Amino acid sequence: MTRPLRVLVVEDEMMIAMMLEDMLADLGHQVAGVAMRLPQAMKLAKDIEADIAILDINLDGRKSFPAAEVLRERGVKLIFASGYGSPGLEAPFLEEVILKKPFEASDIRSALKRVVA
Amino acid sequence: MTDKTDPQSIAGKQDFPVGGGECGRLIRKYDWSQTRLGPISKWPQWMRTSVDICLQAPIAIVMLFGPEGVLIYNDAYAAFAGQRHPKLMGMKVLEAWPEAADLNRQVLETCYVNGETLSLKEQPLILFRYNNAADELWLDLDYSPILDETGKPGGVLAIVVETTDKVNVQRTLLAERVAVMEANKRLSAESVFLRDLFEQAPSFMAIMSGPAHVFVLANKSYQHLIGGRNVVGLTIRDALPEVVDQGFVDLLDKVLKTGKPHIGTGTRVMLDQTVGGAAGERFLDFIYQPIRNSDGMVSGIFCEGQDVTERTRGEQHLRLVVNELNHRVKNTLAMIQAVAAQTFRNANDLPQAQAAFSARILALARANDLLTGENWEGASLSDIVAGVSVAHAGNQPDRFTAKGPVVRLSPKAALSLSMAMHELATNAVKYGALSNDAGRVDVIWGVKDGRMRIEWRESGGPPVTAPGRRGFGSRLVERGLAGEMGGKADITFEPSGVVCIIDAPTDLYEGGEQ
Repeated sequence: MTRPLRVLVVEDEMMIAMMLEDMLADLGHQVAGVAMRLPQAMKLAKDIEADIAILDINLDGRKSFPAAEVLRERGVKLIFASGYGSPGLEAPFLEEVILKKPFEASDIRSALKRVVA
Repeated sequence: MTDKTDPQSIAGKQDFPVGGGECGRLIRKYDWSQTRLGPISKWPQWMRTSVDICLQAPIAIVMLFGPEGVLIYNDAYAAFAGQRHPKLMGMKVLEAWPEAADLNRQVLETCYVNGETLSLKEQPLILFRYNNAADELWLDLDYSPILDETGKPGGVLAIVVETTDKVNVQRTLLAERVAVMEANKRLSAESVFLRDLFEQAPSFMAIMSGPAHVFVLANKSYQHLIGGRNVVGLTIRDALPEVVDQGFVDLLDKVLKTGKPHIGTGTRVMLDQTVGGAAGERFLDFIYQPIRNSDGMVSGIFCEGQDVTERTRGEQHLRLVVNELNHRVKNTLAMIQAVAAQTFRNANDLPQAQAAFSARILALARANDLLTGENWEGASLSDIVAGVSVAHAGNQPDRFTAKGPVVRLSPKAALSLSMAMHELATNAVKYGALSNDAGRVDVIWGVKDGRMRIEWRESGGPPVTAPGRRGFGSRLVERGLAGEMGGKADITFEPSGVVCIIDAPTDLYEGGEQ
């Protein structure tokens, strides 16, 4: 197993956020925090101690890119989860790793591997 | 031999009249003694002179002698008489031309009896001159009396000029003129018809001429499209200045230059004035068709098309709806995946987990139904609580009360709260206030100072002890719902019953965000 990572989960769908938490725990990682809306995500982004953030691009109609900018600035690695029918990546995040929904634990594992590699 | 001769005996060799061609010969040979005129040798001088004049004339002349009008005529007349000649010679006029008897009776009356002249111009007659066939002809007829020595009419001289050809030409000309007039009338009616058709056509049509694209014609539909503006006589730049920068003039220039039509499908155009008068956006299916003159040069452009704005908007709306539906279906599947993942994650008892899974899917379906009924614009809190009540305490509604003001929740919040309350109610039915015959659940909510508080309070159930491990339900409420609502949600296991208090800012659950 890879070393335990501290992961920030930014996901607006309650059930999926909880599933993501479970999957990360099963993979031996630590959930550093969960945000379900952009304001919460912005708040957490500024001071959370995390290695990686998994961000849903669409947060109840708003894009998560402002939170992603803050996180990247602080050296937090990024994985974007693509929502259904939601917009894709935008500059300057076009090169970031995408986790396509619906995903399984193994998808999360390989996405994490690519980011920390 | 004396010169005393019997007129009869010299009839065949007498020398009057002199010459006169075929008719002259015929007259010389004819046995005139059988007629009222008597033998030729006895004819008086006035009569002989008349015959000479007649026979020498190059025009058709016939003479009617005596009250019965015995005929004598020249070669020109013989030609006119056709196959009726030579029998006509020496016949009484009324018997000679029975088909013209009425006319000849009038001639005898006027000229012979009354001694007057008669002139008939372009007199139509039907005669049977050849093969007994009716022959329609026109004649100029001039009749004058021939006077005898006493100055009384002894006969009638008729000059016959056939004008059939001339009349026919005139008739043809007239017929042609009538035909041309009728054709003109027809063309003019056709042109009116075509113009009406053009004018009333449901598709818009306009014709532009020359390199500046001057409107020559624009029908009603076209004018309707451009908000009733009058464009005829104007260049497209002056008539519809707003389309210049939208590339339409460039397109017209290209069609004029290349002679190739341009077809636009669902093309968007912004008009300063359009259907209804105000500025707006229209979508058009149209064609710019080059018009060539007789030299093959492109002289103008015919524009024809249909306003497909409503159809295009309908299609756009349908695409939106299909995308939205697709989005919702996939979202629902993702939710089901999450519910399944978490229900079966730590399941020790598979049948129990399956029942819980089914119940959760049903709760999800109920919430979906509620939102679909509201067009996915949100739901009221009381409807959500009522749905939970019906599902879990359906046959005992008095054991489940709900009280609070009208509060609208966003679709996402409504879905999450439905799921959370489903978990609370399931727990109540299994272990809590709804597991015996006496307990009850009261849901009370209120809004104050920009915050909403929802209280779930169970009472009258069996004594409660806090579970050793927090289950999925607790987690869903305390973590999930709290996150969804942007507030706090606490479950306390009081001995008298489970209490859950949800506290959230109103600007979040109403869909707005700071």
